[in-house]
Parts: sequence; structure tokens; C-alpha cells
Amino acid sequence: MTPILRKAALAAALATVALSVASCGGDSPRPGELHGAVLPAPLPKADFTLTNTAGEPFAFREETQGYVTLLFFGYTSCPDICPVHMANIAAVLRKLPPQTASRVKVVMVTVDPERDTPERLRTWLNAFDPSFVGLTGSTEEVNGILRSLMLPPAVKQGEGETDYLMGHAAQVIAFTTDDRAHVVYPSGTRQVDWAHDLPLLVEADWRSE
Amino acid sequence: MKQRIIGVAALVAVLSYACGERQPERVLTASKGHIAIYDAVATASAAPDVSSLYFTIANAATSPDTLIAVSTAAGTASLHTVVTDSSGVTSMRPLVGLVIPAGASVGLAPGGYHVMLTGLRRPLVAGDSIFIVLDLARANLLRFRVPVLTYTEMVERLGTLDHE
Repeated sequence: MTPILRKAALAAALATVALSVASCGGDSPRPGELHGAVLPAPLPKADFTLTNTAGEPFAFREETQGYVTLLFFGYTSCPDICPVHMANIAAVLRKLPPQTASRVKVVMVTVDPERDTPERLRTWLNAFDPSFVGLTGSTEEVNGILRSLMLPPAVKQGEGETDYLMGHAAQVIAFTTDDRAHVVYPSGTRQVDWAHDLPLLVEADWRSE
Repeated sequence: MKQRIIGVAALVAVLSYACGERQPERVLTASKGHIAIYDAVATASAAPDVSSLYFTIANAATSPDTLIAVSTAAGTASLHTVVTDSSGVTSMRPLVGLVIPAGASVGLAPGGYHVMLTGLRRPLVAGDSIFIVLDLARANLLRFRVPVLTYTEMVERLGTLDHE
């Protein structure tokens, strides 16, 4: 190798290192770079009040103002999709710098109010992160919220009194500080995707779009 | 100079590894004849009565085998797959026989095939282990011990099945 070629090769290699580092931290908040599924048109932030696990009313829009808010509809008797989403988000929030993680709220609305008492929901969420908010409401209320977000209503599967499954929309909706959701995260979203996108969502200035 | 470039390349590899999902070596859990079970994991109960099981089955035979059922004294085990319908509703469906093709592996992983554990006699706690029994059409019964990890540890161990 000639000295110039050597220098060029080294520079290229160092640039690759820089890119690798940048892709971990994600400091260029361009929506096109998000790993999540960008919506064709942003969704306005849902406006509803349900009951939190302390039994108090929780006005979603007001309580989450100014935060990146990850909203998920699931149930605690769910063995795979729901706990995997929660575990992935919780693990990534623990690894992010506190100044980023503290700007993210996670809200889980149960689609199974018959079995998911506030106490059961609290115990379940505590297995992932005690700061995660759990909300309960009637099936009609929750289906109304789903409809307002253009998501299908939850479906009970099975005839058992207590032994049944729920079908439900499996994506996590990410509302940003502009009170809109531009991106959703389907089942199968990996920790590397959350770690990439959450800092971008926290820093993104969507008004410039 | 060449060494420096190789060193930088190695650093890139390490950083890419640190950024990406870890892909650890698969760990043999149990084997019997042509069937080997890798990376078996049970999850610690988040709800007290519900949990899940994951593993990979490898079939070294020249003909397929079929996983018919999974059972455990810990509770009721149901073999499930995950489907999303045209309206966007995602749900679990019972899996009636999981075929393991000749010379191939089939993985049960988050977001895909899994075993749902319900009616647990007591919550599964991380650090414990449970015995499970697989019933295969040709290999018959395989009984082995499965470690219990938290959901977070499980996902970090197995990754998440990417649907895209």
C-alpha cells in the first residue's frame, strides 16, 4: 500500500468507527432514520381518562404532556407479545442516559378488564418497571380509544369464564412532545431498535416538518 | 500499518456487536437420538399464574419429526403460534403438531412459536428451574430441566423474532 492509500484506508476505517458509535447514540433526529414503522399520516394524541393502578383517574393527554409516551394495549395473561414488549422497553430505558429515559413514559391499557384488576396490573408492570403506568377502563371505553387511534377492537377468544385469550393490536404507539404519533412499533421490535429510536424521539423537533 | 487497520476493523466489529442483538453460541439443553434441544428457557411469571417457554429443536435424522405436545407439572402447557389478521388483531393460535424437517432446526422464540404456561401452581421465579416433557412422533418423550429467567434476561438471551 502507498502511504496515501494507507492514510485513506485508515481514515475510512475511523469514519466507520464514528458511524458505528453514532448509530448507538443516535444524534441526528431525522424521522426517515427511525427503525419504527412511520405512519402515513400522524395520529393526534388520544384524549381519554381511565383509572390508574392506584385507583385514581388518569387523564392521558394532560398527564403525559411533554413526554415521549409509549402507549400499548395488552393484558397480563398474555405470555409472549405483551411481556416481551414491556421487557424490551424496560431494559432499554435502564441503559439509556437518565436525562433521556426520564423523558419517556410508558402507559399500558388493559384490553382484559374482567381479569386485570388494578392490583394484578400493578404486580405485572412491576416485573418490568415500577414507573410504568397501568390503566383500566370498561371494554367499551377501551375499544373507543382503540377506534380513535384507528386500531381494531380487542377480541375475546375462547368460551371459558376465566380461561380465554385476547386478540389485540400488538403495536406500541409512540406519541411525541408535539402531541402526535408519527411512528409505531410492531411486535418483533428489538432492543436495538428502541435504543436507536427513543433518543431520536426525545430530541426530535417535529414542528419543522 | 496493516495491523492498525485490522485493529480498527476489530473495533468496528466489537462496536457493531455492542450495538446489535447479541447472538451467543447456542447451548445444548438435552438430546435423545436424532433430536437435540437448545437454549430452553422458561420465563419468570410477571402475572402470578402465566408464563412462557422457548427452545430450539434440531432434527438430525433424514426424515421429519413432529412435536405433538409439551407438558409440565408446573401447570398447563399449550403450544402456540402468533398470527395477525387483516384487521390488525394479533392473537395466539393453538399449534397442532410442529414439524421439524429432516436435518433442520425449528425455534420457539418471542413473537412466534412459543409454549404458553397457564394455571401455574406457583409463580415461576428467576433462578429456579422446571421439568418439561416434549412428546415427539418419532423420538417419543424427552424430559429435561429448563432454567427460569426474567423476561428481560430471556429476550437478551434469545433476541426477538423479527417479523419484517
